[in-house]
Amino acid sequence: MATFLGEFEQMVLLAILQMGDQAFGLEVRREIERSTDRSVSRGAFYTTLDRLEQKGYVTWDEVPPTGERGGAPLRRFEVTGDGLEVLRASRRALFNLWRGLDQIMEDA
Amino acid sequence: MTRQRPPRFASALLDRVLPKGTVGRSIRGDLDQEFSERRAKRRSAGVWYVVEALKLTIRYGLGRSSRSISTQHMPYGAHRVRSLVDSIGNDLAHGIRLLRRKPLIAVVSILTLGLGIGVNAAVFAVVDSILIRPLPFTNPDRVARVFAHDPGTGDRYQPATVFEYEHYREHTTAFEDLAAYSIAPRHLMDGATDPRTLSIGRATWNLFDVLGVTPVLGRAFREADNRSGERVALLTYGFWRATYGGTPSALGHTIEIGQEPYTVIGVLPQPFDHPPDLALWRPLTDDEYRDDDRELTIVGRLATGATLLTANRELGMVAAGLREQDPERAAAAVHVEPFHQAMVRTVRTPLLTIWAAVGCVLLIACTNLAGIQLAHQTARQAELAIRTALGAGRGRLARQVLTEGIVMAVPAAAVGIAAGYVALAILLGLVPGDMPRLVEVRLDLRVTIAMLALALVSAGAVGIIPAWRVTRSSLRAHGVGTQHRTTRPAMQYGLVAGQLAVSTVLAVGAALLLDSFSRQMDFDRGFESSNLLAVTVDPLDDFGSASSGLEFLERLIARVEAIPAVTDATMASTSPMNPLGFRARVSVPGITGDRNRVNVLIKVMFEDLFEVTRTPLLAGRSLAATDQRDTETVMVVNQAFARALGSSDEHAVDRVTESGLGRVRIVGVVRDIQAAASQPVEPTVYVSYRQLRVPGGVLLLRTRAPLETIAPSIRNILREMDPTMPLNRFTSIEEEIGETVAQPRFNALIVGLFAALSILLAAVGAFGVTADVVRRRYHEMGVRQALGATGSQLIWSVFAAGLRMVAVGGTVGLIAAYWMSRLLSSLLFGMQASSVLMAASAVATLAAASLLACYIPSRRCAHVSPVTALRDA
Repeated sequence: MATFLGEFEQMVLLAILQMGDQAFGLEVRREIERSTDRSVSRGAFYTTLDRLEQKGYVTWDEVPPTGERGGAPLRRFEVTGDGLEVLRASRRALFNLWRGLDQIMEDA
Repeated sequence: MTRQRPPRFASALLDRVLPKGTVGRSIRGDLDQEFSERRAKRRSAGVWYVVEALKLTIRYGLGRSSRSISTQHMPYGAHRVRSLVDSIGNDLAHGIRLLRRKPLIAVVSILTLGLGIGVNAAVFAVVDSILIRPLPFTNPDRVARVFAHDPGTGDRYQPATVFEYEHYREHTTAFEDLAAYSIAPRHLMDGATDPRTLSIGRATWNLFDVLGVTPVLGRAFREADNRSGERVALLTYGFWRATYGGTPSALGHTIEIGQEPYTVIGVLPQPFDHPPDLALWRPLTDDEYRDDDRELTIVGRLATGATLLTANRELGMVAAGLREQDPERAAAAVHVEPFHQAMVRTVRTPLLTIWAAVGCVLLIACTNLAGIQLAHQTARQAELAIRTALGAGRGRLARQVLTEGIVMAVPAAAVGIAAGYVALAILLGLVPGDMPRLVEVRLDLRVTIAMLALALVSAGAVGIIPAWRVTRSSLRAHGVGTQHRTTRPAMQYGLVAGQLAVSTVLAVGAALLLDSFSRQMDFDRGFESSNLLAVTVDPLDDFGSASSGLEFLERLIARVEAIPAVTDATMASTSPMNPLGFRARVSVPGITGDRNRVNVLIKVMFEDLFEVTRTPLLAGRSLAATDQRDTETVMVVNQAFARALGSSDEHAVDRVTESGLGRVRIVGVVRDIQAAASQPVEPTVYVSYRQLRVPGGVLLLRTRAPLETIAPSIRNILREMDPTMPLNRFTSIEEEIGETVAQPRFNALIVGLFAALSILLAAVGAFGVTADVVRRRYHEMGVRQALGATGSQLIWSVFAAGLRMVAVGGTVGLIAAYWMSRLLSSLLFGMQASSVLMAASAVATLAAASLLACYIPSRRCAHVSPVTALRDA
């Protein structure tokens, strides 16, 4: 049985993929806020990243600091093969559920 | 431009809570970067940074304790504990959210529970301090009290005489030592204030060693203090604080008791401030060692290895031996009781009754809350059904509902403790002043912890019924989104019926206590108490047996009678309300059998006493001004005396009696004067001041004005006639009557208050359940009305269930009340037809209130519009 992702987890994974080699923590969070037009709680975001990392869907590498960060390192995130697999499964499940509902959705 | 740094404490906070290493530093770096960007855009950054840091702290601080730690490597047990902690955390958060969503229910619930806890806190503080806490002695459970039994009345709680005390002390082995004391009012002059009459304790030198009490200042008595002739005194804590401001320099001061100087050698700890006006202790004098008054309280410390049982047995034999030696003087028997038990003997049952009553109020309050939760939960059935569908087990749901109840407990306990302080202040204002250990009553940490526990238990109890319901109902399949309609909520009706039962018990109890109090208050005392004042006249100089004393009193009466508002004045040795006085054994020649010896109370009076008190003379004559020292000694006796002789009133007259007073002829019989309904009338004899010289007494005045307006004139007269006389006892007889019924009045008042509260709560409960039923059956009512049912039929269909509930609750309550009234009998002054009537009217009030509470919401049924009801369904 495939594991499903929560909605916010999916958003985080998709935003990392969107940002490509610029997928630093701060940028990923801003990307989600831009795309969904809602503010994202900092705490929820980082703990979700931790959880995705624990599940093996995300890895990161350390990048030396730039600019006004008080010397703190940057993390650049990357979606793993497992992460891609679980995203595909989620997409398939959603497609299946949406199938045949176009008529209703347009009426509504 | 200097680079602006984020607020330092916020950074320090983040360093503590964020994960260590790259992860934490990068998160902090992200925040710092945003901070810089905001500053660059000249947006407020400092406050923003602090808020964001706090949010992260909450997330990571809480997360670290419950969520973010990997559970992978934990042993199985720890894993389970972690998940339990997690889910309880979730339930608590959920509970708080629910309370916030329904603020009115939350406030009502917290206030109800809080006030319930508050009154319980106050009563518990009193019960705990007086009944539960050990006395402040060394090994207090080894201290016991010895009581003598009166051969005449069979009273088992009499004091002893010096003669008995010395004999017991010499012959006992069950006690390490025995001590004795008595407390009586005496004149006091300390140079600093006007002369006063205060209670003085007189004790054997070893009293405080036997009790195991060390003075807070100075030293206790020594054996030499009795013999050396130097007079020493130990102050009570309250007197020391009031008179000497609590300074150690009080040691060495001189206080005059009577006209004897005493030197202060120490101060006792506070718990010895009983009775409240007790000023000091002094050793018994040699004179007092020789007298034969039955006024000594004997206390002892049990010897190692001895028990109450062995002490009782041994002292019983010692007392029996003494009785054989001297049957005239020795007590009939003795018994030993733990000191604490003896001290609280008379207040134990009243306090326990009040404690039970206040517990009932909390029980009813909790039941009300459980009812609210049940109604609320029915509305939440859809949510619970979804949770079940998502895999929540019955236990898990029950725990959730239970936790929600407990969320209320903490604020309720806080409200409760605050309310407790107020309730305790009110309670202490109502408590009879002679209750022992009152100075020790306080609402402290111990009471607070007990109340917090009570709040948790109560909230748990409130949650348990809804929780139990969940475990049962979640077995049924609920359709998501549909509302499960129970039209007959048996459990809610059952809860309210239970409340009604408990309220019935309280209402009947309160009615019986009230009836008992009113009968003790308003019975025929044998004299007219209205507009009668009593002023203690206590001259320092006792005039010896000189006639100057008599002249002084006659002059005083004449001057007081001249005050315009005073219609009549006279004097007696004690007030009619005071059962104290001289006692003697009177023998009556000519009466056969064992009736010819009577223990009597002697009262001394002026000849017009019975006119002033309006006590009817039943036979013979009253005393007269012509009864003088050189004429035959005569006395008037009361009916109880005649009864004790087994003679009629008429036949008692003219008999000659023999006693310590010599040969005295009975010249008349007056009606019994009874101070308190619960006290039997003692055989009493009245002798004239002209024939028996005693110093002072009580000035009795029949007046046309209240005490306050007359007191200044009397005070002036007394000051002029004797500047050294203490002037601290001005009362009206009505006040003295009030004092004798202080305990029954307190019982009736407190239990009555709690009963009223419980009736109110039960009515609210009845209202709540009916309103809930009407809401649930709204749709059904619409249908029935559409089918032709009349308004009154619809009302009846709801009201009938309420009627059944009231009937069941009331019946169960009456059965319980019958049983309770037997437990309460020791507090009641008999039971009469009026008691039954009073109880019946209390129950009728309760029934009417709860039926009205059912009727008001049922009326809504008649106004249901079929269209609206069917459309809203």
